[in-house]
Amino acid sequence: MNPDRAWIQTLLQRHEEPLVRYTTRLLGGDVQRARDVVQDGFLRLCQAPKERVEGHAEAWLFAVCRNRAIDICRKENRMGPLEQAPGSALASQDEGPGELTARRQAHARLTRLMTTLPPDQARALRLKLAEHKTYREISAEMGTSLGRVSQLITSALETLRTQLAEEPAQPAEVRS
Amino acid sequence: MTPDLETLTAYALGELTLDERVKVGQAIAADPEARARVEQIQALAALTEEALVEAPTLSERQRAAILARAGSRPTRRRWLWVAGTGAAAAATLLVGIGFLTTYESAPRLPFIYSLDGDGSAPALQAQSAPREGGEDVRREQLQRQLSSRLDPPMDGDTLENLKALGYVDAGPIHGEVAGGTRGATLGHGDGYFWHVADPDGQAEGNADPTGTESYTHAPDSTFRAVTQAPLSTFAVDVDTASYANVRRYLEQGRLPPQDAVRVEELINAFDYAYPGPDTGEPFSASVEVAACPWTPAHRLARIGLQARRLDPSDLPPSNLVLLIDTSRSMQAQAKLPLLKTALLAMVDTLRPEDRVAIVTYASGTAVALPSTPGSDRGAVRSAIKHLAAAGSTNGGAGISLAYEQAREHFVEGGSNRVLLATDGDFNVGITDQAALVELVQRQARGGVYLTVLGLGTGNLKDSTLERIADQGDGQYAYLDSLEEAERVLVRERAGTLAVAAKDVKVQVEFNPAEIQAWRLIGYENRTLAARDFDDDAKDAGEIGVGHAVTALYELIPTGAAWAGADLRYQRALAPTAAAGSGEIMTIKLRAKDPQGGASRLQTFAVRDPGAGLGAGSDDLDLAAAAACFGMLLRGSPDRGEASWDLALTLAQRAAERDPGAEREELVHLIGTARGLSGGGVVAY
Repeated sequence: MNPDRAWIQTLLQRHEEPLVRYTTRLLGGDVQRARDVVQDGFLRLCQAPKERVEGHAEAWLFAVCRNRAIDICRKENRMGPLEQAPGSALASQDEGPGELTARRQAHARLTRLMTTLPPDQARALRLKLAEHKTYREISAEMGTSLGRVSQLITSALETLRTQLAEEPAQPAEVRS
Repeated sequence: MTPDLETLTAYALGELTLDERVKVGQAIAADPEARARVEQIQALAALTEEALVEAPTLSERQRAAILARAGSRPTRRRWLWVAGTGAAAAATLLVGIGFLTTYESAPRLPFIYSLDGDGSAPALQAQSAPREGGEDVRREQLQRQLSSRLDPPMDGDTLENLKALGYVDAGPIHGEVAGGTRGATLGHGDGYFWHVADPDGQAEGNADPTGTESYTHAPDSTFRAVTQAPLSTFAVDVDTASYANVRRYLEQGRLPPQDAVRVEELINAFDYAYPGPDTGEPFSASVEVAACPWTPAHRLARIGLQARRLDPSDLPPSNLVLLIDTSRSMQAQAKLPLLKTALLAMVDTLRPEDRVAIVTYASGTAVALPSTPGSDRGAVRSAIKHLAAAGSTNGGAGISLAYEQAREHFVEGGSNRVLLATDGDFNVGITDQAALVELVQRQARGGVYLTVLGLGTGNLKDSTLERIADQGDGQYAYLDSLEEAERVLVRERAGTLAVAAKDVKVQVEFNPAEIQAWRLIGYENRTLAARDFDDDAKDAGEIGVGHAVTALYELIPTGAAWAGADLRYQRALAPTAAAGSGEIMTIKLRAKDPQGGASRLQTFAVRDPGAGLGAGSDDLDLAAAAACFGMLLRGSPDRGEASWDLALTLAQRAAERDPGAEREELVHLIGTARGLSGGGVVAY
């Protein structure tokens, strides 16, 4: 295999997933669109002069996909997700080398921690974050009070936060 | 009082009602710890949301397309772009094949087609007029060829084979797409594109391959005889968007589409060292004339107009109160969400000495952010992010509260201003417009000015807004797009708060005794009718404090060879006594004060000292390099002996004489374009 291809393949294996996850959130949950953006990012990487990208391809991919997603939101006036989605504060702050690696690691741990939450907490949080429902909609769907939904989600996030802080990072995952 | 964790969580997740949100926002503004907590919750929620995405991987097909592209970098490779709508994958492919066939039998395809319809049948539409006749015939031919290939439809294996041969490549299109240079473009739309390799680079076409970027074609302005057209009139334009766009294309390794290159914007993308105007004058004019680098027998005249300067850091400290209509009608994307995005960008320009407060009005009024110094951008950002629309409107009460805030933090000698952003729907409260206007006037007398930002369409009460702004000694800007909002609130914030002049028009009159023909380089979209120059009712460009405008004229002096049109029925106009003055031209500039009123005329007479080739200043070299660069990218007919080497020489000389990053960048970009074009002129 030619060296460029091997290089791109390694980058794909390493960063494809965190990129699609991240871009999906920026695009308000549109995973199909996120895939296109990420593919586009990689295609651009293939076109970019390698000497200019090599060594910081991770940061490059991250920036290209993020900017692309933000452009789409702007062009389509889809500002809702960026503005209102939780984590909108991240859009301007979450740059830096190792970002995708750190995210991939966090995603893996959060996926695992989600399974340890009490079922109703996990369900409420999933409805909120994966299905973008409001507290009111969640309370209707779960047949429980608004106050209870608020409690469930607060506790769920609080548990995830403490567990994440306590649990040390997996050594195997720490590489960029 | 710090809100409890549950409230902070609800706030972070955007769950509170407006009133609650305002309350929490205020509490957070005063409590860094609570704010850090909110940000932490948002970051965690973001990561969790990402972790919950299902099937977060590319498809096999997408991965294959990426790997197929890897290892075939675009140097010296040309693509023919064939695009279609996403749903029309099968038909799109057929267009690709059809095009290949067409290409083989008719290598020059001087028009652009788009694929229309749902993929059941490839309906073709010409996107632009053919260069030479017979478009209908060609279209029919192409359509026939395509139809004949519809049956049997192309299967996936064939596609893979074509890909393996390097003939076809595929990928998604969303706005800008990676790669490729120019070629004919088939298609349009938001979906998948197919590139078909064009190894000889002979196919023509000039459309952006992405389909979502379209550029209006404006033919290059050519030479005009002074006897027939003694006046050149245009509205000033200090936009430099085209330069940024050209740079983006080149950095992605492709040449920009011809119509994306607007030469005057390339010229105006650079800083020239023009002296400021004399006290009391709105503009200075710096004019330089020397031999034209690309046609040495011609003269190149550079006109530089400089508005009075004010260093951004010298702008007086501002005390801004954003008065934002958060009534239900502001919900539309083009209103509050657009405004929020632009305001967030504006926050980055705040200096520590600036202050911002936010007052919202809907059914009730609220201080969403008490007056906060620019050093605490986080608090401002957070307050803007949490603005939301609900309820009806009471504009009057909101204005009173906004003025109160502005008064409370009044900066002596500063820019004290209320920025009212609304769709103009004052449907509750003070409906008495006269009372409102009276309030605004009284406040302006006291040093607090009003800028009205109109948003959205349909509901917009334009006249109300304009009247309020006019009588309040303020400005009125209509934010029709995010770009405009960012221009007004961010890029030209200084210019918005301090405009040097408006309705700026330039008219140049040439002296037939010295000049036989002229050509304005660029400004194709900006020309005005000569009679509009003196018509104050005709709007033209505005110039913010410190902006400069540069225009280049290529002049053919009397005596130089020029095959101008001879008139059969009339003789040249009779020269006046001034024609013997030796002046080559007179520049007339009309501008209004930012506050409006009648326009003011400045005139500058120009002589040609006879500077030879290379005897101009570094600024002239720079402007000439930018013009040369633009003409080559556009394939301008009047480019004379312009070449990449000439452009490079001029740019290098300018960079050597006055080094700076932007000049170095121009050298670099010209070099890149030379490489991409294979050194030749870009043919269209």
